[in-house]
Amino acid sequence: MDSARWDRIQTLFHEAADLPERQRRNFLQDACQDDNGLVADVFALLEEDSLADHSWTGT
Amino acid sequence: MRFRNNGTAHGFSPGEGGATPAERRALDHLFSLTYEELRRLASTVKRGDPNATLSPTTLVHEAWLKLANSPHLADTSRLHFKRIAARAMRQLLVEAARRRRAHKRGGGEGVFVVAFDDSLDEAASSGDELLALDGALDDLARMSPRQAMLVESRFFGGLDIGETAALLDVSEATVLRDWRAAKAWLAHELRRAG
Repeated sequence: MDSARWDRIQTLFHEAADLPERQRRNFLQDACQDDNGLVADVFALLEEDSLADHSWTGT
Repeated sequence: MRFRNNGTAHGFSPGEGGATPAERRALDHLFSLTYEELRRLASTVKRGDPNATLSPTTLVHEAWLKLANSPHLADTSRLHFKRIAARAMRQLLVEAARRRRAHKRGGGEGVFVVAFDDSLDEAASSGDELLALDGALDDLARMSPRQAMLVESRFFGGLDIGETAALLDVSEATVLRDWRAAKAWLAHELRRAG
């Protein structure tokens, strides 16, 4: 994956993560238009993020 | 020892203190000194108990205590040392994991275990997981050198958020965002590989 795509995935990840879960798919499908791969990539990150116990918020 | 096209030995970028030949020599020397001290400390742990868990953060901290007053580190801040030590620690652990895998030793030889700092919410890693993490970090570095440096410094050097922000010259909010995304990506890559 190149840097530009990774940057895009991260931007979308942070935006989607700030939304209530039920709004994320619509948001991503709008933002990514026809790029289903991009939607899938962002969802993969959101999934892992939900599994972490969020100690990233700490030290 | 890895060389990058635009960097010094060990993968440091010129911006990390390797812009001139003299600076590169100084960085290489500091790296070697640090690597050797970490290796010595890790051996001491293992001699005491072959099954002992290695904690990168603890080893880096102990190496600093040992070397801080050395004349070789007169111009090196604790932060800069920890960053270099993180790279050395990663290399040391990866080399040990590769040796262990190459020899295909059985259970009687003790389990290769690395425990990352509890605050990083990482469980102990086996040699194979460590090698997968190493590969994934190389992949991350191709996409974002700064994020790879962030993860390496935190996992292997034990830098906290404030120290990482100072090291990268960004805000703590940026560190938290980059850390969160990088952790998710690495977890996904390790899950795919494992």
